[in-house]
Amino acid sequence: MKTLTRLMMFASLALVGCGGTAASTARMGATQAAIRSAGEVGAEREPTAALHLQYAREQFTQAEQLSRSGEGERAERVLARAEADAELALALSRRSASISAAGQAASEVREARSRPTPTSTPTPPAAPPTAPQPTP
Amino acid sequence: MKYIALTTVLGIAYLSGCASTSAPPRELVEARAAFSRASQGPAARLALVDLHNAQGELERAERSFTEAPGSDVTRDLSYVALRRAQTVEARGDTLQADQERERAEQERAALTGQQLTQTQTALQRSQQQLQNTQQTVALTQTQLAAERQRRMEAERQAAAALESLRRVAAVREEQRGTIITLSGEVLFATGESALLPIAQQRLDQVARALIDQGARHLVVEGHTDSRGSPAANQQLSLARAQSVRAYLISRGIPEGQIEASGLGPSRPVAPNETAEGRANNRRVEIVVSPAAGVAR
Repeated sequence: MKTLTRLMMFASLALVGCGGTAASTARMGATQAAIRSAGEVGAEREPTAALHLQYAREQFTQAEQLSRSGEGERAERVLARAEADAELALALSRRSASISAAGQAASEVREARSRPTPTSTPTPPAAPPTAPQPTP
Repeated sequence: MKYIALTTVLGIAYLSGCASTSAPPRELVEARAAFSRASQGPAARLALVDLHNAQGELERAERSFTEAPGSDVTRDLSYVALRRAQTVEARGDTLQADQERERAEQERAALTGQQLTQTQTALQRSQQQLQNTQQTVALTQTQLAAERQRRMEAERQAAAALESLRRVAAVREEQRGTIITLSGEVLFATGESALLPIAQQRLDQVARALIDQGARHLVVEGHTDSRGSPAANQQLSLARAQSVRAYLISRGIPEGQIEASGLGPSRPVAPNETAEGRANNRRVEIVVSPAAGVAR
């Protein structure tokens, strides 16, 4: 994925050449996909992840504007920043979920340990009664 | 460790190469610090590829800083390097948390398995105890029913025996037991202690009834009227009681279960002034003890 991104970056840099070109559609798509992925894993719910997702969106918008105004090279670099922020938002969101799950699992272990176990000392079985003696 | 060394090398390169011309951008400084943290955290163990890629990003930024220290390109590359290092750090933490969760889940599964086994064992033990108790209850009920049956049979036999006794002798109940009274006139000739033939028939019936009633302690008491000397009466009453006892033993009543005593005229049941009263007083009484105790 990273190799592909870099290839696309080189390609777009080649296209941009002496300026006056737009950022590559592939790069725009890749960044958009990263932003979407971060949103889908719930980055909005984790404050730091939400902040980086916001950075990513803002930078993506900035890159679009730069691209429209023909500053393709600069747009590509801003897209790279946006994508890095989106990937960080995704990683932070997953970290939050994993730490929460680990805490939950540890809590369940503590609960299982504290669960009372059935008594291990059996009560002796009732002895069969002796036949009562007939009354004369 | 490898990454710490790399960070140091990068730092030295920075100091020797470009420090004299320009200070590194804030993003690069933060990127170095973030990479250093990541390379010392769980990522160094669990996210080696990501750490390697982050290293590449940082190297690019460092090269750019060497070539064009104050450029936008250097700042952008440093920004990306910072985010990559932070991302690697987060992935390291994530993988470590995932490992901890997996270990906890395995432990919980093991604990739950153990507890399940213990519970099943306890359940089996309880079921076994319940089964034992049910068997005991069933056995007790059977024994109780049999005992009830035996009692009913014994009572029926005792009642039948008493009924047959009533046909041959006077029977009354007192606190000391059932008293069977046989008239002296029927059993003996005057002044004699040998049983008359008719008496033997009567005593045969009495013996059968006593045997049917089951093992009871019996006392044969001889009684006389008040005529004659008390000593002679005493002796006669004892001899008569012993005759009856001997006969009953000969008819199957165990010797150890029966005793004889002579009471003479000491316990009249009627006035001795009349012939009828004296006849009633001349008697043999068999006291059938209510208890099972046997003494001789």
